[in-house]
Amino acid sequence: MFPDPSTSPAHFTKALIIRSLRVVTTTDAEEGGWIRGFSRVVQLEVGEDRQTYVDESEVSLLPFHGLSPVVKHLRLRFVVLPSSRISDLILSFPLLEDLAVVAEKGTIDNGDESNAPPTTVHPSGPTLTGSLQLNLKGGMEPIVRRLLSLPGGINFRELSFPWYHERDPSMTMALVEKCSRTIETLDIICYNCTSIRCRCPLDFAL
Amino acid sequence: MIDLSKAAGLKGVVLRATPINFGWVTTALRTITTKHQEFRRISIHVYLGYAFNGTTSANVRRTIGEQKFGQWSELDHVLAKLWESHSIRPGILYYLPPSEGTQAMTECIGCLLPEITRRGIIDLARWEP
Repeated sequence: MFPDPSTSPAHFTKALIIRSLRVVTTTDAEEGGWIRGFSRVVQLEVGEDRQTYVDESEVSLLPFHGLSPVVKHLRLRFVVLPSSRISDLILSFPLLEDLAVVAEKGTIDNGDESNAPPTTVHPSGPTLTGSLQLNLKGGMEPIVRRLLSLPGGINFRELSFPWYHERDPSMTMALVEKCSRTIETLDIICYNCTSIRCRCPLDFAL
Repeated sequence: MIDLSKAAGLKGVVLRATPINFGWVTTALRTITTKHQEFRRISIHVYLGYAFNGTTSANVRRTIGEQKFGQWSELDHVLAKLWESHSIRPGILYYLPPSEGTQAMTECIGCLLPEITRRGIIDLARWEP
């Protein structure tokens, strides 16, 4: 243990990867909780995989809200995407540039987490000027609708998506239009767009 | 399907498709105009799966069908126009099962994209994961 947090290795950590949402509780995120020690993290990856996944209704992103004020690169990986809980997490990182969201199956709307500490959410939102990667087998629409309604807007330079769902092309178009003044690179994967639901024959892990 | 006409700052696109579903690629590239002054890169990745086993330049037209062959011709035309307007050499990266030969597929793609092949304005490469 480190009585003086400034001497803790956590204090100097720039990249943090948490592969199970269950290892972090709301208590851990309170003042003095261990996760608050990672206050200088720039690159944050949070999520779960098939081994750690138990029940999507229990997924809470609250402990990660505002984890570090200097997070620039955020990667979220889920089995089932808790779409309604993404916006507040994004808003809690004022310097966020790059966002990647991966969901292996579908999407669940399990309600927002309105009891989030208000001090961790920045109403103006981040500028989001880097890259956006979405790999969502349940379709892009739930997360895209939330991104389009972020108060600070989106200004991504790079957009990268595999299309799985019939609505994904129109969601891509909406993002291209929204980022039309900033977009420099567009990367689309579509191997079976004539069917209602597409599956990529190759594993393009983002 | 994808209209890039308003994205004037676009520098490049990477479009990945199958040989029987190329319409959306051509449609997207058609929306690149002279307003896209920074546009410099076109990378098209083609998944030539096992359905292409044994395909040669002699039978590729029959393998993919007349309609799809026409879509490739349209793409060929659009890429040639983009060479003229933006001096872009398109990169075509194709995936092929290991059992298939590179030479035969190079000739197939030469059949599918005759104009840019004849003019030597294509960078063709095989991707092996």
